[in-house]
Amino acid sequence: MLRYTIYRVLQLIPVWLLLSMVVFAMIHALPGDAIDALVPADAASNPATRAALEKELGLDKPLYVQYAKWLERIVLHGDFGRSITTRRTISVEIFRRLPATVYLATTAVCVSLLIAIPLGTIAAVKRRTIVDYAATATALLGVSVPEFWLAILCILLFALHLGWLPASEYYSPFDNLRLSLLHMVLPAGSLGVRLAAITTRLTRSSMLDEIRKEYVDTARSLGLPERRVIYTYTLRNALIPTVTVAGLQFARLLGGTVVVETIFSWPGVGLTLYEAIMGRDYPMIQAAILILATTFVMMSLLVDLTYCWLNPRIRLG
Amino acid sequence: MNRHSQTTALSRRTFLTTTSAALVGVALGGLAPESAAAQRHPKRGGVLQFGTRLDASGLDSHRHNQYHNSHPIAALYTGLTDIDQQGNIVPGIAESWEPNKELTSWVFRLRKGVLFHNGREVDAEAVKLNILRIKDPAIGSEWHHGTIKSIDTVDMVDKYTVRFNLSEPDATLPANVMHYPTNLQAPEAFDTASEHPIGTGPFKFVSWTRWSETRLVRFDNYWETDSDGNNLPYLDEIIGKPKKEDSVRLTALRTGQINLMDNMAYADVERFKKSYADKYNTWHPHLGGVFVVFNFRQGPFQDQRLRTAAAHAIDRQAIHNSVFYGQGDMLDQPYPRANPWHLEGSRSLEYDPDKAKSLLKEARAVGTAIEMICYANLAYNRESAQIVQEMWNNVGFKVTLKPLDDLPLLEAQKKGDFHGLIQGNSYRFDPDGFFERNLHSKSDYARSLSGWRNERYDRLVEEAKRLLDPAQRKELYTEAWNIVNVELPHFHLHELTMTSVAAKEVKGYTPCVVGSFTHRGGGIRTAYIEA
Repeated sequence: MLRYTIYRVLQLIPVWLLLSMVVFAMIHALPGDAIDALVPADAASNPATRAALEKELGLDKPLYVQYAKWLERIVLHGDFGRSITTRRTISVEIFRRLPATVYLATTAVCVSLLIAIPLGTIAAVKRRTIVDYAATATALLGVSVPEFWLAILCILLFALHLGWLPASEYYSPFDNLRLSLLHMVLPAGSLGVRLAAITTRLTRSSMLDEIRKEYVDTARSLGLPERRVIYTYTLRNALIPTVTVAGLQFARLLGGTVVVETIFSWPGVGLTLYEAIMGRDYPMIQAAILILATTFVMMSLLVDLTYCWLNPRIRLG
Repeated sequence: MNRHSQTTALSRRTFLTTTSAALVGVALGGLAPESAAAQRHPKRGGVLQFGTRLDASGLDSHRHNQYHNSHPIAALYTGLTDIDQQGNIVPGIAESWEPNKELTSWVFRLRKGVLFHNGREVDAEAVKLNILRIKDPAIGSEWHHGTIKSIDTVDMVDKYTVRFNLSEPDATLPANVMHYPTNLQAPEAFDTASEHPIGTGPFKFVSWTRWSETRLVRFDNYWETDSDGNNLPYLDEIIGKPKKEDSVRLTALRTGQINLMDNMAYADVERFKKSYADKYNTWHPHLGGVFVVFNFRQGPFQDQRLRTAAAHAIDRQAIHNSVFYGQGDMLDQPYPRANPWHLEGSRSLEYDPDKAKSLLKEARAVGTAIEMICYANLAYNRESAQIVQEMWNNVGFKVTLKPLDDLPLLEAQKKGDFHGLIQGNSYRFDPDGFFERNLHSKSDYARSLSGWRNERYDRLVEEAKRLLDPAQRKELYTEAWNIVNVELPHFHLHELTMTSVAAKEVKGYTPCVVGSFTHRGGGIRTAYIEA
């Protein structure tokens, strides 16, 4: 497994390089000009001013030179440069926000698994009963409800009318764990419920496949308790697709929670990336996408390693 | 003489008289002489949690607009002049100013002992360095740059006296060196302005996380005092909490997470006031206006008959009801009725769809395709555009509406890649900031809007800029606006207002009538939280 892990980490290098090229090219293909976004119209059309700004921001060089310089700074110095919009160091901006995003994504996925695995398992075991129908209907409802609508509804109910939970904002768990968890409930819940809907259906269908296999009949015929048959043997094998989907959901949440971040005033990377795209802040966009992509690839590796734990017969590589 | 004439447009005699009165007023209350001992109010303080719809895009106040209606960070700054609660220009860091006879230079005398947050005194050199930095086209934003473009050179007459030499006669300068947008930063901190800005305002910087939180603390050495000689501000701290979503901001107010918020959604105002008047105070300052721009550079609106038809087709009442829910006023010009610069003699086109249809028939232009653009992310702008589209379609145009994000819209605007555009303007403390910037043929901004040129209009506006007397200026602006009402480069639709709400525990707070939360003798400078 160690060899496999090293092999996967080394694979990151060409993936990362290719990704950096694609990101760089796509961002510079966006309509709208960074200089126009920054300075007055008369300055932007003044050749001398434009030239000075392009030189300052490094936009005067050919694209391949800009790319090479940018890559060199990151690889050799860990320096992602400065935001064109805020003029602040990008590393500080993003790495300050990344923990909040990872925290939200992780908690949302955990919430979804805590709901989906028991619900999907019970639905599979009690197939074609009222429990199964209720679980399936709940899953369908969860998939149909938009996250932002659910988020606002939760705020109105739990924060405003009942006063049980705070409406928005983020606290680091390292600063104040209690406040952090309290403020996490609504955003993670609104995201997690929707994810759970998808994962529930997947877990159910995966469990149904496993339950029909011969080893389950063998286990039962050996007199093992039903609970052990289901939860110790069957569920472990059925979880492999669930873990895969959970990993993909986590990756999606890393950059795709702009709306939830906006609603809950969550200082994550999603909103930063959105604002950077709107403002054509090229260095920020490039850095944010690269960092998120790297996190995603690492997450994929973690998911693969989890397979081994779930099913020791699986040999990686 | 109206209130406004006491400030921006004065005869020499009136100016000197008023300034003397102001200085007497200083001694009675509002500003302590340097020798007076500063003291804190024994009971007033607290932490203001300010929920805003907007957030600054950067900390360097010369590069990024620090919007004093909705960016808490604007509390870091004051300028040479200030505004009072009625929006009049009053002394700020400069305690007096006067022009030469030709209005080609202005001398500002600085108050002694005003400090930046890092302890450096504000002197003539600091003012000069700030102006030069703003004028640097690679630094000053379009807004900053355009506001002081008449300043050619800056002389330091002595340590506390600075002279601005202008490229043209300009009566509007005192309004343009107010903290919005000409605010002062400590020159030593120019290089770190994007990380840790240093201003002269009542609060100083602690931290800023964009779209998350702004933290400011009281500046103990701020120069303004109350009438009892207590140092302002009273508040210990301001925490800015930007929340883009209107319903989220309102919920945060109602659950106590914030105690002051701006920009309540128009749809929520009446119901909120009816239900919660006992718990909250509300205000409705004027912010600006929204108007249609007709493109003169290309397209069907180069024909005046079509522009006139389009103007007659617009029912402002419908926009007033549907977009603004009865908030604010229908406008046919930049300034609302209550404002000293409202033009009484202005003649605007009325809603008359039959006339619109007949004009189109006469021009054989029924079915003309019109491309209209608007801001996708500004609700009032987008909704106004949708209603205008409907109205134009009803009289015989065929309108395609393209909501665009900010940058693509700016690009389309610059290239003239539109026929009609829905645009907005923020309040201008001096009308030249609107009449010249938005419509004068030499203004880059005006060229990027309609591209309209009218020599008579240009001359009227240039002449108005050279006059101190507001009555005379208004006459000229009225004549100029009547040209606009005939030729229709722009057609004004409605006033933009903002509903600002504070919990009853917030005492001593009233925003300026034009929306600023920081103004002389009020706003967050005199606010405190009742324990």
